[in-house]
Amino acid sequence: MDIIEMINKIDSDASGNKKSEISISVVSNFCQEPFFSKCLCLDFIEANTKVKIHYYNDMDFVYEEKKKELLGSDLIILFINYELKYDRGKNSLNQSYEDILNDSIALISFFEKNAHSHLFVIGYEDFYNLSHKVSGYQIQNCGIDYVNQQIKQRISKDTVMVDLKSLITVNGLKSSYDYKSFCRWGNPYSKILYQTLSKEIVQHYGRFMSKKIKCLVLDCDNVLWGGNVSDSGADGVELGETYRGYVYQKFQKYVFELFKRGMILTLCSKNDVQDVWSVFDNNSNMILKSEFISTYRINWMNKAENILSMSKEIGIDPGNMLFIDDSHNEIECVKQSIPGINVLLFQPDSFYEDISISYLDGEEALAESMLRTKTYKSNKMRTDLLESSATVDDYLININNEIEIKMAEEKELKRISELSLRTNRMSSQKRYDVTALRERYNRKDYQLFSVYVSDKFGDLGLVGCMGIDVSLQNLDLFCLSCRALGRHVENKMIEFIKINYPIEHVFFNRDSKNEGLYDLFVKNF
Amino acid sequence: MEISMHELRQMICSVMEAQKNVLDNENIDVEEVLNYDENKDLQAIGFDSLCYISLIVMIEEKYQVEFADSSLALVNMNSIYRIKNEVDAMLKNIA
Repeated sequence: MDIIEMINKIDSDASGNKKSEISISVVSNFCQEPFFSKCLCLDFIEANTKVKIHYYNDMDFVYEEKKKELLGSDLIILFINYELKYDRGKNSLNQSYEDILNDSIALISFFEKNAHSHLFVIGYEDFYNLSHKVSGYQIQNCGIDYVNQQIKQRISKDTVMVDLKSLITVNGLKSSYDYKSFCRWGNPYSKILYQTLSKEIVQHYGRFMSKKIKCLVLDCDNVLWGGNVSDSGADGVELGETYRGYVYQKFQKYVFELFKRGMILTLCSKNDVQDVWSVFDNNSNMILKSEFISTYRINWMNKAENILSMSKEIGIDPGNMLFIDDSHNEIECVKQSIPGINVLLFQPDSFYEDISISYLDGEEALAESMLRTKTYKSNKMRTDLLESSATVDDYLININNEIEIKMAEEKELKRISELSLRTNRMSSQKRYDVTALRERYNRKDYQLFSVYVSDKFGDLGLVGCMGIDVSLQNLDLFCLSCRALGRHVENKMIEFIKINYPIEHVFFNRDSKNEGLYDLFVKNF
Repeated sequence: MEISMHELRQMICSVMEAQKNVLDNENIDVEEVLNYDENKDLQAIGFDSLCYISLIVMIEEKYQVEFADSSLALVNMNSIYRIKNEVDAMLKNIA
């Protein structure tokens, strides 16, 4: 899209439908025009949000009159060009990487402490240094990579760090820079790079606004493999071996990486069931396995109805699902029929950018993902039993529901952290990364509990947690996975706390999602 | 070949409109542009350096031309008349 088209689209949208609106402050040491504001504006319009963007120089935050406006924005983007700040003219090579790191952390910390905004930090890049091409010197790339790595480790868990070097790699060096623009107005980056960067920011922001994708709904033919299995048979589909087949296999590998990091996988395909499973079971080039699939609708029915049915079955809101299909018609039909659902037209060349590398941020937890999938699979049996039971209490007796609450162990911290970060409905929404949680766990006056649930159909695993600041009589942490809902587990947890601890204070971050738990807390504490 | 005054005014309008919508700049007066004195300084109606950058890129993309660095100082192209002169000179050179 050239700049005329971008501007025309922005201008024509201005008088369009009402959208939510956010303010964005871009703090930078170089000119971001003409593309950054336009790219952000257009990508947020796609996400049904209008933006108002303000630019600030990286020293503006020291001025009182600009501080209030800057720190009150919905989103602050900190985009400092490394070369201009540290590696040009009189600044060149005067500072050690440690000095640069401390300088950067000081700036980021200022915003983390004082702003009520979501903070995005664009990482440094050193690809601008092309001198090695001319003189044969090797790029001294350890320094910037060290600085970026240290920044990522030290920033708050709520601050997003965008890996600029990865985005430049995706586009290629030649496409990412615009030296004409650099010489004219001091902006070294191209429209293409800004388009990629903007998409990345909008996707990250969407995750903050509870638009996080938790579940993929995958078509099969021409998404997981090339061709139609009903025509070609399990071994006749294109997967691995040929160029096209390799592209589909690469997509499966990517989906597997997402699965290992907690993404729920479902299938929605217009096919005969046995044909699809025959590929999973018999094609040796398959990366994905049937045991990774939580549920499926493989039939000739309307896909929107199928997706809604799966959403109800596994308890995932359509707004947290991403439907991926190679057919424009299916995409449009589902988009029109299910408000809020995310959709993606599968294109072999661009799925990395469309789904966003941000979902690969999390740590791998394959065992946990497998257990989660097993739970969803066995939910069908639980649903059938519930429907045949007279009351919920009968159901819980019939299902041999067992709840175990015990002191948490060190090896459970990763899972407990994941629960605190992922759960919304039955959660007081205290968020802990593993480091912060470990610090609490190691304190003598902090009691951390893990909650296990199992029944006759299987073990749901570690599905809940509670953290109590004993000396402060404060209920600090309370979460329960929605997998364990409908079993009165939350009541048992509250009962346990009330019996064992006097509670004077409760941490609770209330929103529309955890109203039910809020009411329960008000009743009990 | 040359750029018409009307077309240039339209381009300036759309750049300023986008700037107003996105950058929340209340000083921009888009309605003035269509009848603005072509010799008057555009900055008086809110045409700032960010609008200027967008306009330059827009003209270069549309006409497949490239402004010489020497002509890019805002002071050289701060009125509709001066911008038109500069663009017409480039278009004449490539014709």
